Amino acid sequence: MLFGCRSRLDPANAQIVLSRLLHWLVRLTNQGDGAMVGKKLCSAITAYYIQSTAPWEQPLRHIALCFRHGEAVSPDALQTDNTPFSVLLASLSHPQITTVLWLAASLAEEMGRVDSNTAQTARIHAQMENIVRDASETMHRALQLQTSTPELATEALVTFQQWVDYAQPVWPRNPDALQYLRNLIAPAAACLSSTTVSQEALDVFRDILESYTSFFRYEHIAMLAEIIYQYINPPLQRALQEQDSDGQHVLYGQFVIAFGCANIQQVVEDPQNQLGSINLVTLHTQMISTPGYPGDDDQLSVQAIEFWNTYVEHVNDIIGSGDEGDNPPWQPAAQMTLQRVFECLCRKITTPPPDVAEEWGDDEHEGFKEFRLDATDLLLSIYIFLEKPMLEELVGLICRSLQAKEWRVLEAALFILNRLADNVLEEPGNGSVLEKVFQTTLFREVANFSLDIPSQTRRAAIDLLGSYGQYIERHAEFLPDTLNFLFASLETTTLAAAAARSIDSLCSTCRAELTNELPGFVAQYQRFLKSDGNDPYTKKMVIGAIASIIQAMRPESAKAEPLIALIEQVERDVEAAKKFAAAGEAEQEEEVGVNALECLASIGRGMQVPDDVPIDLYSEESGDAAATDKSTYWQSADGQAIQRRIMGCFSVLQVVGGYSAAIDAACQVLKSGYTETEPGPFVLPPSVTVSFVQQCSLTTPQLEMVLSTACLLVTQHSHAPKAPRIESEVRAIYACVLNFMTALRDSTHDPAVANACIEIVGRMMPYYTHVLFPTDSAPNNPTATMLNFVLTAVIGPDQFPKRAACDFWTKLIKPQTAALTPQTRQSLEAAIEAYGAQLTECIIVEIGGRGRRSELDVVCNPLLALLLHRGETRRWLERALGSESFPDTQGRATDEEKGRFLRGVVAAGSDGRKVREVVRVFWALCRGTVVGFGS
Amino acid sequence: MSLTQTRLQEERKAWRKDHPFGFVARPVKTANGGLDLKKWECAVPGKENTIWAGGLFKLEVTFPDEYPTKPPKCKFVPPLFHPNVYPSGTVCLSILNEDEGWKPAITVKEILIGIQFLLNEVNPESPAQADAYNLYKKDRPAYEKKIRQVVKENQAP
Repeated sequence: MLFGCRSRLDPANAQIVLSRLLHWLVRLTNQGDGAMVGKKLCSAITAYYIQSTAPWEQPLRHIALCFRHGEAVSPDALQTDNTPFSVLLASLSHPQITTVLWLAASLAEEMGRVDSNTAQTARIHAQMENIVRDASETMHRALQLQTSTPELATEALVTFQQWVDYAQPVWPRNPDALQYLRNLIAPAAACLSSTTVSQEALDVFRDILESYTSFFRYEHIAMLAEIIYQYINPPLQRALQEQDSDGQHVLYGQFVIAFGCANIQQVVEDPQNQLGSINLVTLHTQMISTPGYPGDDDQLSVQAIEFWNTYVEHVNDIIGSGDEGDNPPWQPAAQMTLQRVFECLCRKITTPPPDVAEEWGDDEHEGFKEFRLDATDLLLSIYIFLEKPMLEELVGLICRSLQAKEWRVLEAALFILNRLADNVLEEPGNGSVLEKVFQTTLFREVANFSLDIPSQTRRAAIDLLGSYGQYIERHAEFLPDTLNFLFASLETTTLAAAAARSIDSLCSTCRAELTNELPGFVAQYQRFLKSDGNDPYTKKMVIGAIASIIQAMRPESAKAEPLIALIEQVERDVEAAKKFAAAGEAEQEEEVGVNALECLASIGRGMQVPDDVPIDLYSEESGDAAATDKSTYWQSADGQAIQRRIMGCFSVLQVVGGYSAAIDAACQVLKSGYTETEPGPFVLPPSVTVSFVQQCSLTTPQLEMVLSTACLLVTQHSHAPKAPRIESEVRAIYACVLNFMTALRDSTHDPAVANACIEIVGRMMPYYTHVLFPTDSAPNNPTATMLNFVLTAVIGPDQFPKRAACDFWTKLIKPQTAALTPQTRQSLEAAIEAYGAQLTECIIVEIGGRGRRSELDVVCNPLLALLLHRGETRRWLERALGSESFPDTQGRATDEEKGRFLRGVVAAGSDGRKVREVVRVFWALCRGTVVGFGS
Repeated sequence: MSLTQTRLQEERKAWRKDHPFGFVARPVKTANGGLDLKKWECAVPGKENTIWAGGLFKLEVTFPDEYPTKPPKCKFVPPLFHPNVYPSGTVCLSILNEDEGWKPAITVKEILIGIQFLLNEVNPESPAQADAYNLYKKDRPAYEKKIRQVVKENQAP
């Protein structure tokens, strides 16, 4: 306001301004002109204090003198009038004391924002060390009057907080100055038990406890503990028991929580201390034992979680660090305490009965849900400390609640058990405890959908199977009950997706143990298909799960019948999709047709031999026998007939081939056979992929996916020296790629397809290099089409084709890792000679400022290959730097800079790190982000 | 205690005190029962009223020794189908890039909220995986359909 312009006043004018301000302050205060005007004047006076170059060392004493004289007095009076400040204060009226407090608070608040990095600001900060005396005395006086004039005490508390906030960063090593504030702790704390100002006092103390714990000394902490015991316990406990929600008890609770957190070491490590530990543990336990619901009528338990988190983390830190040996003396007490917390939280997170939940709005539901997450997070920390005994308790609760059919209690216990899964499963010894859960009738009961069990309880049971899949996998005896429950859950819409995920994971992992259950599962699947839960996602997850059980069957011929049953299911959908298409029902045609292919892909995935299938070193014979069985069966007429039916399902593409998801699923079907090392139903001939590619055009959706599938096929047949070669198929794919490249002309028209095409030609090296570089090449030959396309991609705007193109050129320039015929070698050499200069030019265009910074490393790869393997590179670089295509049009890179760059990269040569560094600096220079190119 | 550890403890405390609904962030347990503050298990929920709503996506957040001078690495586990997530699962986000938007003052909460925001606000300038990026660019309805499936596979409990 007054000093907003921040210009400096000369000393004479400054005196006049101060005098006017003081004059108005005295006058308005004496007139009783309200807080707003008074506070504004105080902040103007504070601004004067900060801005004025004339020293003003005792502002509080100065205004007290003014009040005493009833008018603004000159600063000289400070020297002549020696009346002690306490005497001055005693003569002031309450409104005058209030004004002194406002100024004190304003000084602390504003000075907190002033750095002490100039002589002027350092001086005014130093003065604060004196001002604190008068401030402290004023606050003291006001606090003494708390019973008669509570408003004064309130102002004193606000001022106190401002000064403590000021002191924290400024006086960490100034105990003398701090002492003036510490002297106020006792009188301020007396307000905590007052009937009139406790609210402000609770807030102030809570804030300091949370942000500046070390402000309190041992004796202060003891005093606060005593106050809590004497004055806060009774009303807080009464409120907790009666669920009194007048709000005051929340303030009490928050203060106690802040105190507990600040004093956590004593709470944990001195558990026999009545005031410093027992009382606090009791209060915090009570806060989470009330009957209300967090998010609804219970506001404190969610905050008490913070205390318990601090408690348990203190415990875990000390136990984890091993500083106090294996068993610190307080450990048994901590165990008992946390055991009790665990019990309370089990009750607290139990969902309300339906009549309560029905009354809730979104806020209550969300609040309760959040509490559950926070509480289980805390329980996880508690479990780290309590370990097995807590698990045993939890499992006991599950068994008891199941027996008593207390479904909501059961749900809460399962909810916790799920959250602990990762840690419980880490300890093999827990198996014997978990066993008790799975041996109960739990899964049979929840599977009985005629029982009136809340759907949330069933959901928790499904999640249990998801979280503890690893355990069940090792205990095949529990599989039938659990899986029957999961299959039965499929028919309920809200449970279907989660059940399907668990079915998929259990069937896939325990496939070998489940082959006898297959007929039952297939029957349940058929029932599910007719139920409400039947949606495309669930359908494909479950059909894949069943396929994985089929995969485990022996001999191969035994797979035929169940597999055909699944394929029939897909065939039915294929036919249905065609009928929908004929009837013009596009939406259903899409859903059913796409899902048919997704289910087929899912079956393909299920039929893959798992990665971790055990290899029996001692029965080589039986391994060979299995392999022989596979090739015999899948190459027999029966096996081939199944493959034909699988391929027949692709006919659905006639009606849904225009949908991305259908093409995606068809690609998944093809890919599922690629990784197999032995024949199988989905190990289709490479020609199937080729003909799929051949049927595509640039308008095929997800063409890039089809091409990347073909790329995978090429990779599978070229990744190792001994991988079988499929030359004619690769030639056919390459022919398609060339067609796409010709049609696209360059990579910008469809960067995704361009990228896939470039990746394929890249993958053709080194085992199919001769296809890329035929010996009978003529001008305008296909090789030139391909190379031109890949070359322009280097300077194209799209990142993926650029990366693929750079990889291609790098691979091309480096010596081929497989033997080439002399003719191919010659063609390849001719190509590099023909394109080397152009490639270098493209690279320099990127480095010269056109490329993005994140792309520089990618572009450096072919440059490094050139530097390392081509003697002509220096000449090519020189030409490129001088070429018209060089993008630095503003001439930031002078000829001298370019020369330095050239020498830099050539000297760095094979040192990739150095080359990249030189390139980065040159790029920045061309971009104008640095001024000079360092040597 | 090192600056990194002190800062991480503050982050842990601040998170416990106040974190956005549905998010998870906690340091992993070490072999001896303590907490490894440099590695956090986190989960980011899909934002309401977007195609990501209802999903909960798990992340591993690893803090380097130089944190907070250097940013943490955030990685979706398993990798997520999203244009700005690398095939390895690593998130490509300017505030997580030391050379771009990272500032030591950025909190864990801000990072996770930033990642939640990124889910629906794709940055086409920094594609990290081709599959999701291409579908996003070429066939938005199919992309959205695919995301709904991803959400189904990662349902929040």
